[in-house]
Amino acid sequence: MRRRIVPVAVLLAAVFGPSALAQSDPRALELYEKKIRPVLAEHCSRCHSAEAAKNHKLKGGLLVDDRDGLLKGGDTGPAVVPGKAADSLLIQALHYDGDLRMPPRGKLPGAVIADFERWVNAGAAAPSVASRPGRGTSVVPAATFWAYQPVRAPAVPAVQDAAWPAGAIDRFVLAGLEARGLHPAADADRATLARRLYFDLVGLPPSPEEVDAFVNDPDPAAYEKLVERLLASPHFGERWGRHWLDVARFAESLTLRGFILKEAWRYRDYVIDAFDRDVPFDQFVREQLAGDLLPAATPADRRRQLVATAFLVLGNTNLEEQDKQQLRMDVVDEQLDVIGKGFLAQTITCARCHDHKFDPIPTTDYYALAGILRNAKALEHANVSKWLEVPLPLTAAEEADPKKPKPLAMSVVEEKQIEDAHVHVRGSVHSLGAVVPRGFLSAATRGTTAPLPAHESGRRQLAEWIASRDNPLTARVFVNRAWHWLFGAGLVRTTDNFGSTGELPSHPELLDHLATRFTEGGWSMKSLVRAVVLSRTYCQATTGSAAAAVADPENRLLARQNRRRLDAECLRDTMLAVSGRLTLDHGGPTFPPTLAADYHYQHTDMRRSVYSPVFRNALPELLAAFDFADPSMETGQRNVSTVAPQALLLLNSPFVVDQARAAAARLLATGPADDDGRVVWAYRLALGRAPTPGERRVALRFLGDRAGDPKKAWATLFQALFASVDFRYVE
Amino acid sequence: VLYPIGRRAWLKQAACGFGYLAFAGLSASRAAADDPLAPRPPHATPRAKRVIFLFMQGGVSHVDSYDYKPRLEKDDGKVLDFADARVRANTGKSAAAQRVMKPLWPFARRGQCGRWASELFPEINRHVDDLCFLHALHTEGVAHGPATLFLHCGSTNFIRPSVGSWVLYGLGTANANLPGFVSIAPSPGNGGARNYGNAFLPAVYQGTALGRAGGPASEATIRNLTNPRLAEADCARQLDLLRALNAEQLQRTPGDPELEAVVGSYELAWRMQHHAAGVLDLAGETKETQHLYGIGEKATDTFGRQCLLARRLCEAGVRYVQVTYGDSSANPAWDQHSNLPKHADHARAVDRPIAGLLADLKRRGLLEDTLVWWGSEFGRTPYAEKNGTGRDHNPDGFTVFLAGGGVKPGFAYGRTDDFGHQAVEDKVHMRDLHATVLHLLGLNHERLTFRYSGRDFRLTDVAGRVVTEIVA
Repeated sequence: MRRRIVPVAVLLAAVFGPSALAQSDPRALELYEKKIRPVLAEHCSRCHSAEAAKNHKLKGGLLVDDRDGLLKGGDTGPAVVPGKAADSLLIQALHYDGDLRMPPRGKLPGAVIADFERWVNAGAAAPSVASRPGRGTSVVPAATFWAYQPVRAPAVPAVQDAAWPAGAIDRFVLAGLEARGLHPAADADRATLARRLYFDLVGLPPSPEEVDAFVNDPDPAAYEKLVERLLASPHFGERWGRHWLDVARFAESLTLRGFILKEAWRYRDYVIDAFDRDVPFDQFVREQLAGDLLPAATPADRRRQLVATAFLVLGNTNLEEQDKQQLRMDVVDEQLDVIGKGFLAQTITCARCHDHKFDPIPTTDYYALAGILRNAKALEHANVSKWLEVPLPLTAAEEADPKKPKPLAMSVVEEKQIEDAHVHVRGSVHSLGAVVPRGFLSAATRGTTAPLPAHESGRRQLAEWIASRDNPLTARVFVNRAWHWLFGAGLVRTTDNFGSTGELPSHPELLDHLATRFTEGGWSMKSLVRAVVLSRTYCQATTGSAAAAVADPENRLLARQNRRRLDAECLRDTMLAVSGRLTLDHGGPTFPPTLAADYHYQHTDMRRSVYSPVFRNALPELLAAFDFADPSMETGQRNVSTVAPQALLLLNSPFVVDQARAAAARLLATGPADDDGRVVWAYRLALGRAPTPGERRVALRFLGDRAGDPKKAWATLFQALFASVDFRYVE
Repeated sequence: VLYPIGRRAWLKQAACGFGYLAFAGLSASRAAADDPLAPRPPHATPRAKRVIFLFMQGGVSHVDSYDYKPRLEKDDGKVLDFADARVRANTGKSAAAQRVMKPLWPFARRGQCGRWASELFPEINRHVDDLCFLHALHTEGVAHGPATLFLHCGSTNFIRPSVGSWVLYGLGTANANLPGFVSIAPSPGNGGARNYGNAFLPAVYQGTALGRAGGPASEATIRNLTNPRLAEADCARQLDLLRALNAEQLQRTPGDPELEAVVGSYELAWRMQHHAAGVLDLAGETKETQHLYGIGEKATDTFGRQCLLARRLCEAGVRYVQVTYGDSSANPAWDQHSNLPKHADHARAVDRPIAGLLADLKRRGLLEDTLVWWGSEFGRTPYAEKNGTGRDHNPDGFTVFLAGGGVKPGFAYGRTDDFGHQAVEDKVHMRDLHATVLHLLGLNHERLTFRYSGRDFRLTDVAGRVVTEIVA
C-alpha cells in the first residue's frame, strides 16, 4: 500500500513543480499580495476558507486561503489552472459566464477580473500553506454498528420466574426486567383485553355481545381462538393495511393544483388485500419495487403486481418544476427517501449532496441507488409533467363488456436506455461528477454483489437485495414496525431511523429473535402479529408496579402494556359503529371519477376511514385533527397531540353531534327499556365496559334532569361519552 | 353545581399555547417543561414580535409598480436578447430574443424619501416613507408551484415546514386562546396546505387556515368554534356532563398528566369558543376604522376585512399572520401573462386595505414591533409575452417591501439591471429574506434547527444571509 502512495506523491510534485517555482518570484507574489489576496479575503473567504470551515460556513469545499486550496479546488474541480486563465473555473465564475457565478452578490469590476487573469496566466503565484481542517463529524463504522450486523438467532434467555412467560418473547422481556429486579404487570382483564385486541387487529370496537362471548368463554384457549378469529377477519387488512399506507405516504391527490390520482385507490386495495391474504413480506417488498418486472403466474397476479408499483410514484411531486432534469432527480430522491426509510430505516437522501455526516452512506451509494431508479421512467414531461398510468390485464368481466372503461394503474416504465448515474456534485443536476455503477447500500452489504446487467435497470435486483434474508435491515425494520403498532413504541423507538442518529434497540436480542422467526417462518405478517399478541408481555395491564414506574418511567423494559391513544381512524369508525351508521363495504373507488381537483372536497361517506379519500388539500377533518399521518411524508410514527381544536371538534362538529343523535335514536329504539339498563348499554357500546357506580349515578341524575326530552338527553350523553377520556384511549 | 369538576388539571396548564395541553406522554416529571408552545426567549433582542405577510399570489410586476426603469420607456418595442429564466430551465440556453415593454403606469417620486413608485398603488404610495424596498430579490422556481413553495417553505419540492411554523416553533405563542400562526384565505393551489404546513415539525406548529382564497371574508373563522346543531345552553350542559363523566374516569388514575391534559383541553376549547370568536368578529370596530380598510365598498370589502382581521389577530398575540390575495386557479390573481392592464383590478382590491392596515398599525403603535412583508413568489419580465399584452414570470429580479418591525423606513436596497430583469447589486435571495425575517424576530436562522430523520434542518437549509443593511 505504502509503495503505491509514494510514486503518486512524486508525480504530483513533478506536475506542480514548475509552476510552484513561480512562488518564489517576488514580482508574481507582489501581484498576489496587492491585487489578489485582498479581493479573495473580501469577497470569497466568508464562504471559502479554513475560517469558514471552522464556522460551518464552508461552501463547495473550496478553500482560497492558499495556493494548494486553489489548485485542489472544491467539489467542481480545481479552481485555478496555473498559466491557463481561460481554463480556470475561478476566472469563469468571476466572468459570470456559466451557472457558477461568483461572488454571488454581484460581478466584480472588469479591472479586478483582469488582474486575476494576469495572475493566473503568470502561474498563480501564492504562498503555499497547507493546513486543512478535518471533516468535523464522525461516521459510525459499518463493520461494527449494530444495525448493519447480520441478524443472528440469539439463545432464548433463562428466567427465574419460569411460570410467567408464555413463550420466547416473554423470556427476553422478563430477563430484562429481572436483571433490574422488576416484575411484569398483572394480565389485563378480559374485557380490557378484548377491546385492545379488536382495535389492534381490526381497528373496530367489539360489540357488547362479542365482549360477553369472550369474557364468559370457559375454554382455556378462549384468547387464542379470539386472536385467530380476528386475524382471519376481512377487517384485519383494513387495519394493518392502513399502517402500511402511512409508510407508503399514500394519497389520492397532489397539492399542486389538487390533481386527482384517479387510480391510487387500487394501490390502497392492493395493500389491504396483501395483509388480508398474508402475502409474505418479502414478496410484498418485491411487488412494490419491481412488480412490473416480475414474472406473473396469472393475469390476476400480473394485475396485482402492476398496481403494487404505484408505491414508487405516490410522492407529492411538484410537476410544474420547469427544469425537468431537476424534476427527474427530485422524483428519484423522493423514491429513495421512502424506500430508504420505509424498508431499511436509513436516511439515504442525506447523501444526495455530500457523504452522510453520521452514517456510513457515501454519496456514491446514493448515486448507485439513484442510477437504478433513474432507469424507471416515472413522468411524462411537459410544462406540467404527468405521472404514468399503464393498462392492466383485463378481468373476464371487463373483457366481456367493451363499453367498460379499461382499467389503468399508476406505475413506472423501464427507460429504453439503461444508464448508470453520475454523482451530482452538491446535488446539482448541472454539475455532474464521475459515473457510479448502479448498486446497493454498501454498509448493509456483506461481501460483493454481482454487477447489475447492462440491459436491465437493476430495480428487480434492488428489490431482491432488500427482500433478502441476508439484508440486515429489512426484517428488523418490519418486525420493529409491527411491535410499534402493537405497543405504541418500537423496540427501536425511531422506527424510520436505524442509523446512528436513531435510538438503539431496548431489546436487541428480542429484535433479532423476532426478525429470525419472521424470515424463517416465510415472512408471514400474520404469524408475526400472532406471536406478539399471544405473548404475556402484550397481554399485561397498562398499570404496572410502582417500582417499575420509578425505575423505568418510559416503559422501555415493558413492565406493563402502554396505554395508547385511539388513533384517528378508530375514533371515527367507533363513533360510526356506535351510531349504527358504519357501512363495511370492502374496497373500490370512493369518489366520483369525474372529480377534477381535490379543492374543498366534502367528505360525507360513512365507510371505514381507510376508505376516506386521502386528498392532500382536503384531508377528512376529523382525521387531520387527530394526528393522521402527513400523506406527503413516509411516516412510521404518528404524532400524538392534545390540542383544543380536537376538543372543539368533539364538542361542536356536526359529524359528532349527528353520530351521537343516531346512537341515541338507536338505543331508544332497540336497547333496554329502562334508563338504568340503557346507561349500562350505552357505556358498553361506546367504551366496551359497564359504568362504575359513580358513572351510573352521574348519568342517571343527568337523565332525570332532562326527562322531558329523552332523545336530546341521550344524544348529549353519547356525545359526552365520545368526548370522554376513556373513549380516546386504549388500555 | 351539579357535578364535581376536577379543575386542577386545566388550571395548572392554563398558561399553555393555542389549544395545546402540556404532556410529555412519557412521565409526569417531564410534562410541565414540555409545552411546545410555551413562549420561548429568542436568540437575540427582537425588533419585531410578529409578522403580517401580505402575499400577492401570482407575481406582481415590479417594473410596473416599484422598480423604476427609464430604459424600458426608451427601448419600448425593441427586440433584445434576455437570459429568460424559463427558457434557461427548459432548454439550458442562456439568451432569447424578447420584446421590451414599457411600464403601463407612470412613475413619480413619492414621499419625503423620494422613492420611485408608479400609480398602480396610489394609496400605498402615501406610506412610502414607512416602507423599506428590497429591489434585488431573486428566488428559485420559474413556475408558480415551485416558486410558491420556495417562498413559503424554502424548498421548491421537498416537504418542509413553512416560515410561520418555524417562527411559532422558535418563539412559542403569546396567546393560549388563539392559534399562533394563522393563514387567512390561503389558496389551495400551488402547494396548497403545504404552504402553511408544519411538515416534520410537531403538528402544534401548523398554520390554522381561516377561510379560503376567493371565498367570502365571512368564512374566515376557526373550524368548529361554534356548534351549528346545538343552542348555547345545550352546549353548556354538554360540557357540564362531560366534565362530570371525565371526573369519574380520572378517579381510576388520579394525577395522570396526560389524561388531565385531555380533560383540560375541553376547558381550553370552551374558553377559546368565547375568546376567539370575539377576536374574529369585526363588528366592534368603528365605522372610521372599517372605512380606512375599504370595508363596505365592493372592490375592497373582502381584502379589507382580511387585513383588519390580521391586525386584530396580531393585537391579540398571534405571531405570524399571512393574508393571501389570490385564488385557486393555475394562473392565480396577479399572473398576467396577457392583459397586464388587469393588474389595475387587483391593485384596486388591495391598495386601500393595505394602506389602511399600515395606517392603523402605525396609529396604534403596533407598526413598531410588527413586521409587514408585502410581496409575491416572483416578479415579472420587463418584456412582453405571447400576444404582447402581458409579462411572464421573473424569479431573477423583483421587488418586495417590508415595513415596521425594525427595518429602515423610506429606504431602498439592491438594484436590478437597467431593464429590471436580473438582480445585480446587493442581491437578496429569498433565503436571505427568510434569514432576515427571522433575524428581526430575534431568531438566528442558523440556530433555529429541528432534528428530523437524523439531521438538523433549517428554514434556510445551508444558505441565507441576514440583510443587516436594511435593519434600522
